[in-house]
Amino acid sequence: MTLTCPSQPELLLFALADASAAADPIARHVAECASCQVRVAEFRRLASGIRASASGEVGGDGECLDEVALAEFVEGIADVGRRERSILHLAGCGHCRRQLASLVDLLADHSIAGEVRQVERLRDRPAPRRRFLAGAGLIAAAAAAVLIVWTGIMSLHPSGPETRDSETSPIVSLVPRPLAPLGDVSRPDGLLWSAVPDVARYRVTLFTNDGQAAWQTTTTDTFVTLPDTLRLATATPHYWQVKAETGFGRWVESELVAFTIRRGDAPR
Amino acid sequence: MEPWLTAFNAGDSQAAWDLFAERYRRLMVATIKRLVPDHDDVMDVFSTACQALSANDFARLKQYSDRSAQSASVATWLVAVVRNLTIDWLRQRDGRRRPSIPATLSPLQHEIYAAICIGGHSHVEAYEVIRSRGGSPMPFNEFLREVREINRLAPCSYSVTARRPVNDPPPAEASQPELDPAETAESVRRLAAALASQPADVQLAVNLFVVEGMSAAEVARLVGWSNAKAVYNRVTRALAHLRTHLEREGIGRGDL
Repeated sequence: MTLTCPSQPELLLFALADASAAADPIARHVAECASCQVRVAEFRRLASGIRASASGEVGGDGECLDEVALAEFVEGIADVGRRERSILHLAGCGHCRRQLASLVDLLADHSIAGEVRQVERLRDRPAPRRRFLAGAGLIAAAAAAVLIVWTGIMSLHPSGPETRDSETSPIVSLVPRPLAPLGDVSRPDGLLWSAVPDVARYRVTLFTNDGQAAWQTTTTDTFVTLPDTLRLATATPHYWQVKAETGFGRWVESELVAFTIRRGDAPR
Repeated sequence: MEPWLTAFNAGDSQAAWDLFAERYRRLMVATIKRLVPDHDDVMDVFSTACQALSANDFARLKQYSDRSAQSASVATWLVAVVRNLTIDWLRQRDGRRRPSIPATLSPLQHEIYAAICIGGHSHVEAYEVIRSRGGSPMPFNEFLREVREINRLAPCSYSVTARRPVNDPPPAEASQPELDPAETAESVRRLAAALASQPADVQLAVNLFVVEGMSAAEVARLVGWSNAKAVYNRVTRALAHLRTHLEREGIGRGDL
């Protein structure tokens, strides 16, 4: 047994947790220390009393938190005033406390957290779309900017920034770069991107304008043909992205790029 | 702004719903699966949740949409909504199944089950409710033994609280030590009153940490304290305060 007794918080944790962890040094100490055993027993009695008095009934100051308020509280984005009011209410309302605890528990669940990450990714994706929807003026400005950058690159690298054959190219990108289709296009037959050295495979994903994955495939080439069954609307932006597997489980991804099939082209 | 919100704000509710359902159905199903173990039930609950979300001209989506400018993410809000809809569904189902409570429960246990599992009363409240009906003057510690026995035989089926599947008994009963025979409802009530005299953030932290079994780090984040250590220290101090308070009122170690 260690001679120094654990601190009160350590004993509290020991009392509330599963006491069967006999290998734990605190458990070993408590097993042989009469005064610590008394403290642990007190903590447990108080905890069981608090649990026995806890109800799922509505109570507390103010109104119960609705689902929006509860979500705000969990995300910690409520302003100070609302947050204080929520704490005041939650302190006395077993009903809301249980909802809060359950929501936190659900959000920590592996599969739910995975889905949340997925939808958050889609939510963050529309940046290019917003630019597209901002109006023709912005599109023209963006196109001009791209042209300037492209011209600059071309002047630095007359052979082009990159060729499809990475072995012959003096410049090799470490991430794949979408090459076509980009911007306003006729109905595309496929997707083309730049090569990445030592890549195992590429995964290409095509998204609709609301962020849904419309099609995905995996290939070792730097070009894929779009299937005839894939119907792409005209005058609506589509987005695509290519990822390259550069090592086991290691992926590098291109930026998300957009293309829009000109109105009048037969949809796929 | 999310596409479904854009459509919703533009007044195209049906298009908004289509976009919403397409993007969030997987999250909805994942949430339901976590709460409802039976696969057949999952799709029933999903269907019910979709109906509830689109009911009254998409009133629930509107509730979020109206406050979305500075509100929580759709995902967090939706998990809260789906959780509540699932609990409602389970309550309705259990309501229908109520007559099939195992025959092994005694009439008294049946009454306790109804008060706690269906009525949502705390143990003390359930005890008072049953006593007020003129039943036998059973001591509180005997009542708690009956509660533990019920949790062993027929645990509350919709007790969805932190860190335990729907059908598991609450940990309070699963792990609590044998209570002192002299334990009384009055002592528990005084304990609750003493806790209620603490600052609101301390009360909340004690409840989340001790009753709901939430991690100290999570409690610290929610309550707005600096870190987990602050939770350990302040909850310990709160319990010490409760002990002193109860001793001052003449409630000793054997009474609780």
